[in-house]
Amino acid sequence: MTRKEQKELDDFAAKINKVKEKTLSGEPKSDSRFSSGWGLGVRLATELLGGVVVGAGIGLLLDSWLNTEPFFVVLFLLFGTAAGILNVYRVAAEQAKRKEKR
Amino acid sequence: MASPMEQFNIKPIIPIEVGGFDISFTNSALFMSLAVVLSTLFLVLAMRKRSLIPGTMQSVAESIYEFVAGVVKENVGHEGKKFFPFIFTIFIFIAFGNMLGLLPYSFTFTSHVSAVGTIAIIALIINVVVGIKAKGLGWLHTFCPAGSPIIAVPILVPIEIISFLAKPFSLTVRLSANMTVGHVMLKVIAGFIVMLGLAGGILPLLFDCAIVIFEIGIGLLQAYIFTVLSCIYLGEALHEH
Repeated sequence: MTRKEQKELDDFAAKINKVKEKTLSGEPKSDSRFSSGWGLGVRLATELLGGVVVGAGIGLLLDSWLNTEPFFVVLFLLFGTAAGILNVYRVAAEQAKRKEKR
Repeated sequence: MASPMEQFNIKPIIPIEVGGFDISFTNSALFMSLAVVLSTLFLVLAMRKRSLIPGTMQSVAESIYEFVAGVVKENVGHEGKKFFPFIFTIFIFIAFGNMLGLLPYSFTFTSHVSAVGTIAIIALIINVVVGIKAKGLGWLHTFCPAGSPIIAVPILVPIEIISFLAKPFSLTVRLSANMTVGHVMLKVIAGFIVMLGLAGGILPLLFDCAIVIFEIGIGLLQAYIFTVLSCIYLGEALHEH
């Protein structure tokens, strides 16, 4: 085998290993091929809304169950808003991390 | 003229009532069944030959498979293979639902929060089951990260629980709102075509054609987003943060 052939083989082996690493690694990799600014905006808006709505819903359910109106609605609306902001923060942090990597 | 929201009305086709519950076979149910039947037919027919060199249909089916497999691998990791059938079902069901909804006189079940929400809640339940299976009781640390001060726990835990439950909500709203908005827009602009008549109607007609193409893209994109996010939830249940 000539040296050139050997080198070609080595290159090929490296290529295979690279693909193997990519496909077999357990760690998830996320891509952002489709994430547009509009999509991110809608996502942030719905995350915030989701926290508030779910919080209010839990509060209403607890109130109608325990007859404590309006104690739990108020409490869980506050918790829900906090959860919404937390979710927005998490999405934004994830996006910032992704941008840094690129 | 018909209201642009009329297309979202659920009408019973075969009225059924059991024990006071209305479980009629509706137009929504009809199109869900259609999505299931058509996607199954498509995949079975496309893969019937199983030739080494795929024909047109087979290569479409294969690229859908590879696409979803790639999404699962990227977002859940290698152990996500077990959940591939579930993720693939979600993707193909939503994608077919969105595409069927674009046909004239059809019904878009993905525009309904109740339909999409159910899928999102199923994904959430699977997330919980998988999380408990993978981490045991340690899964509860999702709601109370290790090392948090005791004083903060009464505030932290409800916030984390709500934040967890809000995820399927935001997923649902995004998909159904996108589908609803697109279809309302199509209908409103279609109304302009009729109003402007032969002379001026050509402009909104062209615009409507563009929106239909746009909507095909949005429909597939939303199916993709829904799939990716259910994968991410699964990945979160399996891995540490």
